Amino acid sequence: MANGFRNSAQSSRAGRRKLFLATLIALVIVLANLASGGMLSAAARDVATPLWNLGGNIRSSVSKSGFFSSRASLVAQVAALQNELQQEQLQAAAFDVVQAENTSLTQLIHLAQTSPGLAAQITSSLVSSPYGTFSIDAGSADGITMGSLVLMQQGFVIGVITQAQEHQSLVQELFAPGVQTQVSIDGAAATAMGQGGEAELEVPHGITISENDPVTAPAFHGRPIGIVQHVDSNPANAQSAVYIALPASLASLQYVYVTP
Amino acid sequence: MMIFRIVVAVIGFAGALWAPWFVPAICIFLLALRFRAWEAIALGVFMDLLWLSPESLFHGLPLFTIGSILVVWAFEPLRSEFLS
Repeated sequence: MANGFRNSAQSSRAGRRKLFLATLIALVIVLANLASGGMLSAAARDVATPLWNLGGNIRSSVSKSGFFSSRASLVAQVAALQNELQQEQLQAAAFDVVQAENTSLTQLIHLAQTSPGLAAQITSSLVSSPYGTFSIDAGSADGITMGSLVLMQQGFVIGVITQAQEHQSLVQELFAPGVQTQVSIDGAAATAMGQGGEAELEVPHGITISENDPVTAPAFHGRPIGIVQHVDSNPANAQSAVYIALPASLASLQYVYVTP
Repeated sequence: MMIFRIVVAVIGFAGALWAPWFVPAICIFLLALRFRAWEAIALGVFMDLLWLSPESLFHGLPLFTIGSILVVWAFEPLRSEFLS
């Protein structure tokens, strides 16, 4: 009995020691990352990039293969499938992926005609980051620097490069929680506060703002960062609250355009 | 129980890469609630290394690392009392 208690106490102490050690290591890693200007983050993203690519390939292959189509169509497909047909389907799926990429890149051409920059592929998930960040497959070797603007196909600025490694960069979304951006809306200057997917700004009641008005950022060469989605002009409040969002969902993006 | 711990940790690390941020957060919570889980802290650090930017919320404060350390140690008295 006494041995049992002693063993339990010893194991408890060992567990706490391990936890204490893990805490110390975590703090050392965080501080070392901070001191090295994000070198450990860069290494972590280097490790994660092949996994993100693998995940993307699996997702597109599964969606193109029709694996999740209806049961009846699956049964019919299983009956009809021959080896040769499978090969053709794989080729067709690959063609679809290339065609989709081509379409995305074609939509970026007009941006390349008006401002210097380059198209980059989004390599990470767009939903995983708690901080409103994502990775792209272009870095300092491609001329990308901290502060470069990241645009979507329609020309809206969606983020800013905050860490540029040699072949990949981290983008901070403008509408991420807590991110502040100086904007201009119908001639009035205001500060937009990101809320995750949208941003909120406050303007005096006298200014006429309607839905779908563009919101630009003087600091980003007057480029648009979103459109007005909703105006809350409750007279009980001192100012009108304006909610802005992007005209298209970020989740559908494959490529972005990066310009200095 | 060890299998549960491993599965939750694997889901957490995979979730850090591909799933919404609350999936690893839930995994950290579950691990910390039941185990003296150093991997919960590792998961918090991994999230911050992957996603944290200097421009992020609260000037780039590593919220997941801090949160996981707090949660793991906050549950220590509970674990000692009921689960040892």
